[in-house]
Amino acid sequence: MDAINLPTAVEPTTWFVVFNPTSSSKLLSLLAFGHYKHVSAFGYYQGFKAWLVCDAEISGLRLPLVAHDAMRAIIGKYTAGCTIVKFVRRAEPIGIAPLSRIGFFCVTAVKHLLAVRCNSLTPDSLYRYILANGGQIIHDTGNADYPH
Amino acid sequence: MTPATPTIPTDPNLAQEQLNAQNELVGSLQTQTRGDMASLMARYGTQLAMSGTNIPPLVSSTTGGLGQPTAGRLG
Repeated sequence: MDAINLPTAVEPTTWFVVFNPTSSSKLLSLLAFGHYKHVSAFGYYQGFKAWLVCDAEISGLRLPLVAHDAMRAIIGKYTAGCTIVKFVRRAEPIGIAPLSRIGFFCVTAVKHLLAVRCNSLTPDSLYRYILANGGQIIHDTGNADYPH
Repeated sequence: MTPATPTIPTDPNLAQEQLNAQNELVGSLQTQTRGDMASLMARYGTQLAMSGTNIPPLVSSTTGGLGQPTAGRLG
């Protein structure tokens, strides 16, 4: 068996934010007015050759760690119909920012993951904020009509 | 006073590994999407090819076509 030297600590700094125009919850679809209904993110863990998926679902926060090869196999299905935006986590602390900390659902979870300080409460609003602050669309299937 | 957050050092080899992994993942995604597009093209043909253009739809969206306003929404 090959020896693997793992780093002592790693943390993704670059995240891939997945904006989904559908939601598993009809109620959340109604509340998240706009084009996108759900947002999640995934980032790469160096040395471990794995991706952490952060998904605040209505059933609870899910944090699956997916091996790189497995992620490559499922990425198409996982992001079907979605827009993926690459974003580098902010180095500056969020601070108190009460409006940035309201509630805990998919949008606020991703906002904290990216350490962005904004008042976005819907995926659409977060999408616009991220694009206006250095986010880069790396993949988009089926959302060409939505303004970028 | 807020304690300083420990800084995680960056290993250049691992940074390169991350870059490679990201490129591989995007490559896989594009490959899989091309497969999806190929099957959609086979199914919808020119309607899909013209979606997103200014060419009027041949089939109304209410009848299941891919014209406006659903053009470009394949999901």
